[in-house]
Amino acid sequence: MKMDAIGFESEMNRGFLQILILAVLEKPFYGYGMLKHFEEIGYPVEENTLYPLLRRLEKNGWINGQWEVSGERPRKVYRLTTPGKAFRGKLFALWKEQNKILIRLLEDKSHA
Amino acid sequence: MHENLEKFLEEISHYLVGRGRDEILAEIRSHILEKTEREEGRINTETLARTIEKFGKPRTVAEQYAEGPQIIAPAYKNYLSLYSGILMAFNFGLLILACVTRSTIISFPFIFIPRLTPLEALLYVPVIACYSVGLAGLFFYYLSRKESDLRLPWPAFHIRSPMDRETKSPRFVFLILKLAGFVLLNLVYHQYHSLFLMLINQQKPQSLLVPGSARFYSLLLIIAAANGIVLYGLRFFIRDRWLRPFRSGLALLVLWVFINQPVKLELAAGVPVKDLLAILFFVSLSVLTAAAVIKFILSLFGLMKRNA
Repeated sequence: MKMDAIGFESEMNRGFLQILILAVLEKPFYGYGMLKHFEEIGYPVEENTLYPLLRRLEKNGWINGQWEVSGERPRKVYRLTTPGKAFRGKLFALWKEQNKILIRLLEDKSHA
Repeated sequence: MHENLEKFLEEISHYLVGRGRDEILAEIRSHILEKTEREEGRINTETLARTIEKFGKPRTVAEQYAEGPQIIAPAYKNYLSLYSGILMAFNFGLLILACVTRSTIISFPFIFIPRLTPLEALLYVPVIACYSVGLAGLFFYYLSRKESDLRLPWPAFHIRSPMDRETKSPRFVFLILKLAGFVLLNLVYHQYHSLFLMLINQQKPQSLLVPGSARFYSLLLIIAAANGIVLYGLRFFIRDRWLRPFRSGLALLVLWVFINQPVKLELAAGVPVKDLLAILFFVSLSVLTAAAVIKFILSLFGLMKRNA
């Protein structure tokens, strides 16, 4: 039962994290920088959760990662692509709609 | 070059599948080095070890990257069991045939069964089981990779109602056990030409019956067992309400042959305590007949109840 709860929670977090990545990639980020940014905004993410998700989004063509070797060590910097921007718009609309339904339900419950 | 970091990356690489392995490892390397430098102040074996430990176990890390179609699509799980079972039953049949006829059987592309003694045939059973599951597995692996929407033949079961408790689903494991028992019966008959054996002074088992009786009644038992297996196997494909009364009826018929003795049931010479054996035989036959009659009546009663 407890394992089920953890599974549901991580599934939900994974979905939210995908929206979050698309949202923060308004400007370019590399993996470690993104993790630090998530920590600052109050949503700490595990590193081995973030990197596979970045790869999945990249494979779908919504983000694009490019190795930059100008600094001390090579870093893979991610940017949002044009299809990624369109997809992000769709996801935001969907999230808003779902959020609206949930809030309405919660309000109805509190009035009942 | 940091030895513990490279070792960690190499271990991850063992579990990573698909393309882009080098890029995944390069990104993890870059991340671990940067994190260690920023959070530990400097990069050395100890500080790297701490970052690596926090990163996770190599297998867990690699599993996060796993995606795409599975080796065999979960949707084919039932098909895999069913088709493996059919293939296994077919190959078991060939094995028995090869053993009884003492010949080599080649059923391309399914299996090659050499001329075997009964004991060798018994040892060949696991080969047949592995081969059948492996061949069906390969077929479904190919289908899963192809991602085609192929509709495979599937027995036409009617959907069972939760209220319908009368017809229990047949279990594959029971079918295998029944088949194994059947193979054993055949092997014993093949070895001793009788299924009715006695062991006197721990010598070689001897037939309780004279050769003519032993052959007739042993074959009758083998036919009864085969009837049971065939009808049980049929339940995987047909959920007919007549199947149970039919099975009980056939069992009764076999008992009727036993009772009527078209071939005289004659005990072999040298069998001790003949009178006691005759009584035991009579009692067991009576019990079996009574049980079969009750079973038959109950199955008919169940049939009538469902028809009502």
